[in-house]
Amino acid sequence: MTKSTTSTTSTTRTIARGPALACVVAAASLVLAGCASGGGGGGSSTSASSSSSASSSASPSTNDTPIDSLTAAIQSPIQAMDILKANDVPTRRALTLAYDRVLAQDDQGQLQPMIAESWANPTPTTFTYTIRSDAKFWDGTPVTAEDVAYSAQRIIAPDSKAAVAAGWGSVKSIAASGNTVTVVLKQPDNGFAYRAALDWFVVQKKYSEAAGADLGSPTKPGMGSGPYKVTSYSVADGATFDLTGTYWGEEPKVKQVVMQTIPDPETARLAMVQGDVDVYFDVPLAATRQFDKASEIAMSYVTGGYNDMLSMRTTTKPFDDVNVRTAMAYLSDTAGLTQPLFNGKATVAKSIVPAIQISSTINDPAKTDQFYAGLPAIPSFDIAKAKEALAKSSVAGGFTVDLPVDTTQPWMSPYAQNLAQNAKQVGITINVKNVSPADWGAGLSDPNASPLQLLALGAGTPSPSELPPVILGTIFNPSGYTTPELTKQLDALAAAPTAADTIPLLTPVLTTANTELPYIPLYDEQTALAMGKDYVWEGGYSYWAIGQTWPEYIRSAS
Amino acid sequence: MKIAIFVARRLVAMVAILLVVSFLVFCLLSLAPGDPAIILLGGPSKATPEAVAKVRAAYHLDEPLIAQYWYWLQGVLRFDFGRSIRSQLPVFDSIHERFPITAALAVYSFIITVVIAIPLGLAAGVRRGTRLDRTVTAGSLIGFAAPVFALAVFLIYVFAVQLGWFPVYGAGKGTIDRIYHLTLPAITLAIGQIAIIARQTRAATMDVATQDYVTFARVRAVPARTVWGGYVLRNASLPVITISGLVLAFALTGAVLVEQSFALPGLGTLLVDSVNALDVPVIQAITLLTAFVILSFNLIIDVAYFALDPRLRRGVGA
Repeated sequence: MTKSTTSTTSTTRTIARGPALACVVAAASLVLAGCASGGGGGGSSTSASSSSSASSSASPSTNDTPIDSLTAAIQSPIQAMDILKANDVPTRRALTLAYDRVLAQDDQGQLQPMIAESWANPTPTTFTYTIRSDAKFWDGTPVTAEDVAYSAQRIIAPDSKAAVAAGWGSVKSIAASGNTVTVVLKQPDNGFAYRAALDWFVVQKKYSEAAGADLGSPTKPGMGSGPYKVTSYSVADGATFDLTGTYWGEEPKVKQVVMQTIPDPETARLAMVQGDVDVYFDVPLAATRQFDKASEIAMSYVTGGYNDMLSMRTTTKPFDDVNVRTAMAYLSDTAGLTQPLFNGKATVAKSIVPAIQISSTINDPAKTDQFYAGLPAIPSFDIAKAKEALAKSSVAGGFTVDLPVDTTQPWMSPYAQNLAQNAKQVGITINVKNVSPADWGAGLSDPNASPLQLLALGAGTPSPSELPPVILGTIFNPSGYTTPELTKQLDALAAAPTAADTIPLLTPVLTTANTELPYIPLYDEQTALAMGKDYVWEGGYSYWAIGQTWPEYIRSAS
Repeated sequence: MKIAIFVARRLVAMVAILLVVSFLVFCLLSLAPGDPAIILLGGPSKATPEAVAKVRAAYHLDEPLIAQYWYWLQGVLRFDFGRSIRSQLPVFDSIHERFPITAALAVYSFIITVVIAIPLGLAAGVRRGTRLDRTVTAGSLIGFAAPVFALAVFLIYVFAVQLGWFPVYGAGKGTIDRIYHLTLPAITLAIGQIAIIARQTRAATMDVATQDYVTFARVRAVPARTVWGGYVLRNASLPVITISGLVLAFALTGAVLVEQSFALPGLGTLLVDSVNALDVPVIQAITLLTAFVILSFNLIIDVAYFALDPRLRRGVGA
């Protein structure tokens, strides 16, 4: 998922997070995250240092009293009610109310039935989905396998402009027969399974074809089968959703959801204090200090898939020298900046894979610690050691390089300024350049752009094999780092049948990554949710709520 | 009649300037780094060969630049600016939805500004050096220097949260509700505007108040209302009208910080978000709209000069 307003780069499946104003879900689940969310598993309103789950564990008492209306605020507008037109995180918070997906994600990000009551992976390149017979669109017509197949066929259509299409690059064909939809891939892709939960929003073929280019607009918001129908929608004013009363599954307790855009976190906080807003998603971490103090607001912090890295293009001097890259790692005061940049709501990353993917797959804190202990440690802040490493390199006297920072991602500029200050002490001049989100995103895959870049990514799946084949492979690899041995290891990782099978395959990949340092892992950010004290997120907030019909989890507080 | 000719000439000049601006605005797409087709698609990830071919055909990208401009201009004259890259919605619809909010905020804040700033500036200019003058000067300085976002938070906290007199955010629906919602934002925007216009009014008044004809009028016991309103204010009005018109024109193109602070879906926010996302069709449309608004207000100001100052009418006639 990309949180960024910037377009995803090339056919990358990773998406860079953009500013908190617009999070776009990356094609291949990696998101360029601009949103100041991150999540860490576990821990509700306290910061989770090394949590292993993506859910917060709040447990105040609740009741099942129906909630007449709930106002939820997001930081940027719902761009369109169609996944093909807009896949940023704020838009997704609205799409999941109106549209079912073929599969759902639970609080651990694992796949569950939804429109497909069962699914199978009979061969490495085939997925079959059995469509339930009781799902109906809002107009009363049944959801058929043909509608389901159409919903995906339009993603992979040759003239599709969908950002999510990049994650469907391995799909050869999608066909409906009876009540089954079969997807055939060109080659094995263990990341594909999650696309059914992330991008496969089910729309009615008849309505969508008639709406044409206007599908998802205020005049033609769409025909879905979700528990809520779109009562009103405009990009400027937000949207109102009302329960249909005819949903095939369990209806949420919230009868009406009003979604509004409030870009400024302080305004949202005051609106929550006043009781005008009940839920505020993705609170920028730098703004959470004030939210923590408000007695009317309950905060949930969860670690999720948002991780930040410093990327160095290894095909460009002087970053082709591992001593230079190591020196840069020693210059990064990652731990020291956690508090000022994120209000302490981030942990120092130990590898390029989001911590949540490793911890939720291993699912045992002691074994997770053991896994990390088996990897080379990332160098920690030490100017003297940076000087030593640089002295061994081809540029012992120092060098000059630009570092573009996205002005809409709050942590980037102060981090970059601090890095530049540290680097000056060893003779390296880093020119921090403020750029727009669009330019930042474009620069990540431009070989003529600066070789030093900041990367902000977000995971869309709980699988640890999601990111490495992308950022160390050929699709979206700003570092340009590759070796034949590593390529073989990445292919094995991508072909691993289950997430658990990826763990032993990860060790050689991450050992290489942590030693050669094409990327310096920086932070695993948390995600912050603000809720009014009248409501509770049942079971605790989860990073994977981005892909869930989230009102199902809202209860009145007793 | 001669004034009508003057206005007609100005309208022709305005159209000529708008054409030049429209060409420069059109060229934004060519000037932006990267292939225009890929920019219009929203990035390389969406640039399948088929999608690129479709966009190149739709926007005539393979034709000479002047031909592309002609097709684009024809669309503009029909209010068709293409579709937003981000939302895929017609650009006109996005602007049409937001302009009323921006316009309502601009007009509301302007009314507050004029009602407060002109009398204050007039009084300060007439009573130069007095406590009133010093208070108005200091107040203007503070109003001008105070950061808009800080003012907004302060007003929200005091009047919306603590006192509960106004809503915290949003533009409201319906006329009365909109006026209610826009009161705090209008006051926030007006504070800076009052500072500018009060200072300008004060400076213009000081100049006029010391003229001989004002002294003679006062000596001859002409009623104060006539002296200050008819003589002083009217003679000081030209620079005040000029600055007021420009203040309103800029407010009509979107007060971004106020919109962000009060979550108002106006044109300012749309422009900033579009620049960040390189949503060129939207940027083109708003830039052209801005040029049109500023040129129109300049013309209105110039025509207002004639209404206020008969000497200028005679100048045109000569």
